[in-house]
Amino acid sequence: MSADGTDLARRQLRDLVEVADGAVEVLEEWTNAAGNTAFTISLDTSGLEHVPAGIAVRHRERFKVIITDGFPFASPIVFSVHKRWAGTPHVQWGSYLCLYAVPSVEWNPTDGMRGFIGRLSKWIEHAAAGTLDPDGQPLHPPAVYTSADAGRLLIHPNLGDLVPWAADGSGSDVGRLVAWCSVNGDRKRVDVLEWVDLDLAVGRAEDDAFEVFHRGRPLLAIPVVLMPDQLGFEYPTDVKSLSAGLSESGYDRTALLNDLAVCTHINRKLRARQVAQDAKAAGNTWDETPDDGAPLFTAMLVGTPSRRVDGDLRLAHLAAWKLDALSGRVTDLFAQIRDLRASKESAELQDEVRDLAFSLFDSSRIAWMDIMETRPEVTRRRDQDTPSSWLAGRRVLVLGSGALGAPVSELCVRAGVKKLTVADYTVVKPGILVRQPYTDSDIGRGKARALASRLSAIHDSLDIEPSHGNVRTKFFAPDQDLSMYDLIIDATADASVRSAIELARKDAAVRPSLVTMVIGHNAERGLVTTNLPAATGAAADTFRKVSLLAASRTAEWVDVGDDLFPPTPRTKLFFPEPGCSSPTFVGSAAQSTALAGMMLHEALMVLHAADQERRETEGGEQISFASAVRMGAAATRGTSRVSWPGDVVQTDESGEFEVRVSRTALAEMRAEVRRGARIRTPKIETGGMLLGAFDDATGIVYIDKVTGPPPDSYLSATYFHHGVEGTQERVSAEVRRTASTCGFVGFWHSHPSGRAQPSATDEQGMASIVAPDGTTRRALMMIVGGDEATWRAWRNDDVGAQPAIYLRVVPRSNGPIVSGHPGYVGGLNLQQLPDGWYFRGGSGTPVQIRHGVAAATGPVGRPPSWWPWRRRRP
Amino acid sequence: MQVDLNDRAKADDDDTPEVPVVDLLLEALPTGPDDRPFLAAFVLTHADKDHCSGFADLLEKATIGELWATPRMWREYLDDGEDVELCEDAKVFHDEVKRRVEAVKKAVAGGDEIALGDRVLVVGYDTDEQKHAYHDLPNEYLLKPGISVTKINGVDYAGRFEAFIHAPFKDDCAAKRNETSLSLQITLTEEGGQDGKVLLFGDLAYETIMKIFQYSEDHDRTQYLEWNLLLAPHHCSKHVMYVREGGKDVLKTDILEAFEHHARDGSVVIASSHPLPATDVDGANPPHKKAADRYKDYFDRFICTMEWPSVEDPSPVVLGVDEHGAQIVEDKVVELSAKSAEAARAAGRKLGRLSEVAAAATAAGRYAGGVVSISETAGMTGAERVQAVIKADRGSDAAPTNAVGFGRER
Repeated sequence: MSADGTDLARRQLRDLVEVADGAVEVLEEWTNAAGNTAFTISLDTSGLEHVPAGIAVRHRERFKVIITDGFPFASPIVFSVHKRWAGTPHVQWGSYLCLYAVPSVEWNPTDGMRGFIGRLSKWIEHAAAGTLDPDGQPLHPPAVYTSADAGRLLIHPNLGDLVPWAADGSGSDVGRLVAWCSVNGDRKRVDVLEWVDLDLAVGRAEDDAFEVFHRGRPLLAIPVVLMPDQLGFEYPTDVKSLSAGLSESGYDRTALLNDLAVCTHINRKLRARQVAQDAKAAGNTWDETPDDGAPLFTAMLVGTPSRRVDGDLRLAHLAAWKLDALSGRVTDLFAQIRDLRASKESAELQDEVRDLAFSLFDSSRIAWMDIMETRPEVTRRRDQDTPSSWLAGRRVLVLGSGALGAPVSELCVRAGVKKLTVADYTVVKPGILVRQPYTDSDIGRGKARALASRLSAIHDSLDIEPSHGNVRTKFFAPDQDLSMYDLIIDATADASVRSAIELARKDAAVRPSLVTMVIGHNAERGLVTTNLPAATGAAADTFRKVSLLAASRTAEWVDVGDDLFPPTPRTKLFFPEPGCSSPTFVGSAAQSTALAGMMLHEALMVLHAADQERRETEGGEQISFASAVRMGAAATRGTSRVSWPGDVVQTDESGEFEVRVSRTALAEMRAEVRRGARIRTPKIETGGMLLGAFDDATGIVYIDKVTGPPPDSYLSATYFHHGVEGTQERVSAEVRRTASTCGFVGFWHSHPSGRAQPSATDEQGMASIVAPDGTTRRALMMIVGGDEATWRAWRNDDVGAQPAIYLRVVPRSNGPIVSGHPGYVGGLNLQQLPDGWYFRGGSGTPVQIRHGVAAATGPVGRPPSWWPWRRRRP
Repeated sequence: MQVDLNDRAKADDDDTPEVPVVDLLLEALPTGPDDRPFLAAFVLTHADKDHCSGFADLLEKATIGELWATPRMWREYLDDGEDVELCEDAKVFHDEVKRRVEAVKKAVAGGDEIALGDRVLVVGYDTDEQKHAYHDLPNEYLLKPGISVTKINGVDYAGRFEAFIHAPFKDDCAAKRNETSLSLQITLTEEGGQDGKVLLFGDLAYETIMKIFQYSEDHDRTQYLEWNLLLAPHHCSKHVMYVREGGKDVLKTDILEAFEHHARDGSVVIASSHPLPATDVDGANPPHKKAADRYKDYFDRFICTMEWPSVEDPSPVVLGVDEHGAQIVEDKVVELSAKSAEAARAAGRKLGRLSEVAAAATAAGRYAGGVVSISETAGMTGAERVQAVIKADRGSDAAPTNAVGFGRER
């Protein structure tokens, strides 16, 4: 103990007392057993709010404050002078007060004893009011008493309802269990794998078929005693007071010795088999020489009700006492004698050994192992409630193990995925060590395998499955079941993989969430898209939408478009190695790793929020999401986010194409129908061009937007004649603007309050477009209609209303329209404008047509009843 | 039995919270055979004014069966004659004691019953005993420390009442008057056997009290040190646990530990004193805040008579012993018992002891009045006070209010 530190503490306390006027008082100074200076102080604690759940505080309270070595850099520790607060949160071992959950953050050396007393006073205030929080923080018994020499004990499984007390802490039985553990090479680490009862543990030890190694580490049994009460003494430093305390709660030292002996018996049996099966593994683990008579590892776990994570539930606080070699040996001896055939001699011998054990125990100091809790019931994950918590327990497939995929995979493991598959077809090359997390010894190994073996070491219990090979054929072959994953992360930055996923997803019965990430050419931007299970579309679709957004010069997205969707492909590709190496981006590990983390986080925010929303309200509107993350010079623009609702998706009549009509396109159609109804009459048909794209690889037709009738169109209740005036300009502009992402796809027209089915005229019209002398190889015909109610509802934009939709991709046919063609009507040419009254596109004044020529202009909205309306609907 | 009395002149003023104790006592006393209010015994620990004022008044208005006196006053008269520094009440007390000593001697000599109002007990030693008139009283009228008494006014209450005499010590007979205080442990036992123990140390200070603990511990009679209720010695004086060493008050935790060691569960310390000051001023008379703080440090409960249940409206503190043991009777219970006592009185029924005490307590409470100002920090919780202290220790956030000049020598 530093004298300076003690002097400082004393001086600070004195200064405080001097101005305190009795609110703070030092009653005594003394030296504790460890040679540390300690003060008995008294604080004014009057007038505190008190709730039944809080501790009972008198008007003044006394505390023992021990100035630890290293003060003022280490905080003092404090005990109440009484046991009145035992069993309440943050009071350990009856009187040790847990003031600082995180001393590194909460203890301020500069503030010294002032801060300490302030903290103590606050602690009491909160404890009285029952508002000490956060409850159930993993509390630690006084660190001074644990010994690194005794080793560490990791506790994995929950004790749950194996404890002998009720949820509120009531109960008086002592619980006895066996901790089924594995131990590692230097015996300094023991992992509790399972809680089993004594009989089962004995059964396992005696069953020769039972596995005696866990992942190459020998198994052993440790007795567990669960006390119904708080131990009414301070963290005991000798076996005598521990066994006295246990005895007080109904677990006498005979029972203690018996349980130790039973486990020693188990361990002896296990040990014999371990040595027989794998002397080296057993020997390395147990001792230098694989001798099955070598001293055993003997320890005992003591549990008391205390820790809580939430609510009033009493959970076991566990401490592990490691017996020294001699005590272990005596226990072993006792266990062996117990196994001897009963005889007068053995009974006497047994008594003698037992007495020897007791007297040895009585003179032994206790060595407490470091407990490392991983029990979910008493610990809280550090990423609790963050978006990453979405990953916990999920089955994830990460495609690509490169600069994005490798860090993303690691992040998934850290977040606690249940199953992880990493896939890549390449091998580790020297050049990638610059920014991918591989080592020199990995060179030449498949990246997926190298990554999986590294990440498998993070958690003992998670095996990561590597897949070395072509991800398209392996994971996205036709009829592949994708339901075995909750999330697919595509970090390949490979367009063909995106297409493969798009196709697979289109036909999949179950669609896992999909996250796709790419990185810009100079690693300053990343684009990540997320498609929820409700989205039929995948990244190819969503990337298209992002590129259209960028093409529309939406401010936030322009730079993303320039970086990731340049109008003209970048000519200066970066080839890192000579020859035909894959082109890649230029960027450092810092950049790519940061972008990977940022992008994953963006995606997880979406998934996490979607989960929350689904729990709160049924069906979120938005199902596809994109975020652009930026760093370096681009970072000032921050992150841009956009989302889309689901498209109207329908398979075309030919069955070959899935048509995805964007909500924008459908809204534009509706606007035109509504406008037509207003300026013409509701019965008059209307229509226009469909702008979008055909994707043959995936069999998808995208409809991004639509146009209305050109001015030279003719519109009547039975006939829609799409003009040509200005159409090319419109299409060309769109193609140019979107860098050919979006162009002419087909026509749409309406059948107001009528069936959404093509007439012979419609068929002939479409045929003429795709005819060899026509303009295009194939075209989509879209008809919107619906019965009166459906139509009216959609036109009036009622919530959720949709028209009936007919869609057909009409391919080019090589011959003329002959009998059998849907457009064949007894050789009639239905493409000639029939006689009658028409509106022109964009005009509200009807005109009369005779023999294809405009003859007269009629009154608005009042076509003569004798008009030769020819119903052409089938 | 009444131990000491302090009927203050202020008490007659309705605007002060002090209570006219003698009037209230008279009201609560039963009527004796002579049709006057009857007090079985009056015990004077020492003859300071704040322990006996009002005695003359009481003696005049009530019949007191037995007086308990210490030899000290004889000694003072012997030393100082008529110059003795005693208040009027003390003189009256001494005169009455002397009268009774003679009356007892005469009755004993004549083989007569001692008349009502003539009994006296002299408690303690004096090295010069032979010089005083009491020395030839029969032994049963001379009580020495280390014995226990179950009789009051000649009636044996064994099994219900016991008073163990701890002090004055022989060695202290010539010490300062406070140090010659009579010190008692009184045990009250209810019918079921539950008892309550009260430690009275008069105005003793650290040394003598430690001597008492030491002595009784050494003589294996720690049962006489046990307590439910401790009357804070010397009106909550800090000299009980602080000793002046090198010009500084040094805390002696051994006495607190001694108190603590012998305290029963639910221990209560009572300061018979003014409300506690917010701060102790050097040289001030008790009560001392420091002392109160130490009692609060160590014991479950601390009550100041003039703050109970509130500074504005102080009422007697009642220790009740019933089948649940000894405990302070809370005001609600007092009121309740008082009501039932009044009802019972109206119905002509015999009252329980607790009811009687409660009735007296409430009756006394009714006289209370007046408002005493409360110091600034009184409204703060302990935690707030501690935080304020820490803030003060860190330094004020206020700028200096006075201009300060700086300059060089010209």
